[in-house]
Amino acid sequence: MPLLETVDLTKNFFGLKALDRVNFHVDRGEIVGLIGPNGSGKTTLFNCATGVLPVSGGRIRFKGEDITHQKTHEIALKGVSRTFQIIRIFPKLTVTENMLLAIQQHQGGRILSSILRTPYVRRLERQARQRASELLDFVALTPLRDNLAAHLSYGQQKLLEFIMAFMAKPDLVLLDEPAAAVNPVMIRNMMDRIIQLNQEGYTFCIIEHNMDFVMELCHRVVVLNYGEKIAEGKPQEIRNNRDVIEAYFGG
Amino acid sequence: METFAQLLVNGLSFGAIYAMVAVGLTIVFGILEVVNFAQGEFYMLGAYITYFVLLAQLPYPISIISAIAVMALVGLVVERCAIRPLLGKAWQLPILSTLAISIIIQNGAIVLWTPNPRTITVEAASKNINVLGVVITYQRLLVILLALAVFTSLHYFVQKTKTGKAMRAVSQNKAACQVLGIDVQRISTIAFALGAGLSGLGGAIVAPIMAIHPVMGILVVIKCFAVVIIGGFGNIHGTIYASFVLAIVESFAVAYVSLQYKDVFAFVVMIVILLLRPHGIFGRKVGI
Amino acid sequence: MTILRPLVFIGAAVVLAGMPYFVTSAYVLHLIILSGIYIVLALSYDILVGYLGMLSLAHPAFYGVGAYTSTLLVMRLDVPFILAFALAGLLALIVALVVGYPALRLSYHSFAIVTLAFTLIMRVVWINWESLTKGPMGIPGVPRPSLGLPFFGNIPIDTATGYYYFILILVILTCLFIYLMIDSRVGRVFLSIRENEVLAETLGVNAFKYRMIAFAIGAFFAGIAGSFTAHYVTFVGPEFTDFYYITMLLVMVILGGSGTIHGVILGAVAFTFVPEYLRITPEFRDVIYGLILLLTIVFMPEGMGGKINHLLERRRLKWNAPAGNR
Repeated sequence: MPLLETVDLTKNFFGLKALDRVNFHVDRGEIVGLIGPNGSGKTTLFNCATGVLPVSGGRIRFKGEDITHQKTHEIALKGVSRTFQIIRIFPKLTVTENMLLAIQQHQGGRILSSILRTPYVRRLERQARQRASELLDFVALTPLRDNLAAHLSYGQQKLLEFIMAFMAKPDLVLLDEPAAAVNPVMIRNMMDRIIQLNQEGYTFCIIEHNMDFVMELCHRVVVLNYGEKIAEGKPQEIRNNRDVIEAYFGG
Repeated sequence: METFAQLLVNGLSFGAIYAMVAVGLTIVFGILEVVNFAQGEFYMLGAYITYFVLLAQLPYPISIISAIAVMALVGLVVERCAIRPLLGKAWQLPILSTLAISIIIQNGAIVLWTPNPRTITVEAASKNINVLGVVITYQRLLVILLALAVFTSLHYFVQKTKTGKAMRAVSQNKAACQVLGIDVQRISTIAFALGAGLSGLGGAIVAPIMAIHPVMGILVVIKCFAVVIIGGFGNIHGTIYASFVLAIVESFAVAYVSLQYKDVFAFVVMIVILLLRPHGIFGRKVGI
Repeated sequence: MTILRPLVFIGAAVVLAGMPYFVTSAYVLHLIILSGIYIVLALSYDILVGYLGMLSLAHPAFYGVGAYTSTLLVMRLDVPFILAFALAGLLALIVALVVGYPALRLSYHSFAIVTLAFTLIMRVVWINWESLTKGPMGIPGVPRPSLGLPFFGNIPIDTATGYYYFILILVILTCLFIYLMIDSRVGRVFLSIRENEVLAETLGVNAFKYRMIAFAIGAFFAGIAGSFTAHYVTFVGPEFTDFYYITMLLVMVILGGSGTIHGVILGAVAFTFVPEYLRITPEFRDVIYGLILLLTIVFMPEGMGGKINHLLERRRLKWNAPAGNR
């Protein structure tokens, strides 16, 4: 059973077909690349899968369960995390607070208990801070942990957004252009970390335009064009696929 | 008990007034994304301006034009000083700003002109005329005809003129407009001044019909909020339809249901509609 | 600096505890009690406005609900004051949940309009439902509170001193609760919703649920403030829902410093005393308030509390004036 699958997924915007009966899946343990020219529907696919956009037709299943009409926060709590094309973090909160928010809701804890600071909630906080420390170490952001997120450089913010996605140990991580506007050294770092995390058991689906990134990392690549899936297969196969080449250069 | 036709005409004339104020609101929201809480006060000022001009023995048309012109100017000043500096910041700030202005104008009016209602009549307009078997005053006829004229020209303005098209573009995608070289700030100012002017016009034509007092704006503008919500923020056509429908329903409701809760009626309708369709009947911003 | 803090606290505690004995003028003590009421109102109002960034104009309605509920329970149904007091807050909370359920799904702008409509509707109801509320004249002769406590027996509150300590306790409890809430995980979630709602939802936050909670809690405190006021001035009427209260609350919260506890308290106290010393007509006063509000919004949106924070260079800059991001 695939971890995430879409069946005939369709999304219309006032008559414009952003997604047209897309059948797409991600299996556990895979790193799947989602590529295609700008406007082909990649981010729309992510938005539908995470409940940010309502679906016009078709189904989406996660771990076998139909999540087509579920809300963003419900889907998130089931084990899906994502990053965004334009970085989303909480600029006026500290790096640590950003991290804590990424796991808080998954931990649970009643609201009254949180306000009264019961021992249970205090333990949850300790665990959360511990997890945050691990991840901050992993990307060497520890010295910045008490800084306001707004004061970080672009690259550091991107790293922060990246590790926030792993705080709650999600089953599936959706990365939207993680290598965009990032220097080559950092791209290399990120690739290594993704490989490492994948070995630890995380499943990835990555939207990217950087072909080296995609070719080296992904087990499988799916290509979208004008909302339709036009090709799917191993990176090498896709590279030589005539339709794909035409989509990028011909259209 | 008034006849069916008279209730209908009553509804139409009030619908025209609601529509003018509400369209002003919806245009400002569409372009500046600000709910202008002072719109009711602009309406009230329009009525007072008309009153004073008529008091000075000047003809009625002059008073209407004065109301429009002065209020457009007021709109321009308000936008420049109290709205524009806030547009880049948190969304609550411009709204709070208009709320503050509403407080200033309303209480200022009470201080300057006392809360006592004033009335003024326009001789020619009080005469009756028989239209298709219904007896109404010239004033009511004027209201309806003027509304028709105004909205037709507005439609032409928005669809055909360069500025109008620019306004539609800004309401749909501000960022793109800036990139394309459209002067968004100028458009915003024009939109706000237009909204204020429309409101002033509303006040001007209602002045001979109803009592004029400093608090007359609140009740009207609240209903216009309801109308804008029902018709869709930024949607001119929806707002106009909703204004007339609401006014007509109100007119009949007062006659057949209850007088006391008349004003609550608009809100009840608004709330019911919001429950069923959070984006209003005519949907979201479809551009102007 | 660290020695100064406990001293300041002790000093403040002494002053607060002994206030009725320091203050000889009954009028000034009345103003102090009044500012206590406003502190509770303003702090609870700021939960929604300052921390969640939602412009609610319904607070005066909840204040009125609390006032009328408490009055009617005590006068018509002989409910003991303590119970009526609690029920006043509870009913306001429930009304908030009922109104909030549809209203909080709307866009921020529609929400502002709908809450304003709600307040006006409530006012029409108070005025017209004569059998319940005695209409525009209101209900005079509201009995003074008497706290029927289990061990201490019946403690009547009928002196200014009594009222003072009562409101002091309420203020302290309100401040404590709000501080605890804002400083906890819950407060963090509120901020996350204000700062970047889409991201918060992606992290598993049910923004709607938290808005309901904030709205309901705010309403609860407004309700008990209403109850206290009704039994203090021994009167309740539709004036409790005057538009004036919205103006007042906005000025107190915004000028005081939305999102800061000390700022809002400062704003509440300042604007209880200021109008009393400005011997001018109510309308002229409101013009000035409007101007103050306008100038504050344009030139100092972070309010006095925000300015204080800046000056003290605290890193709690994040708590300041609404800076939402859609």
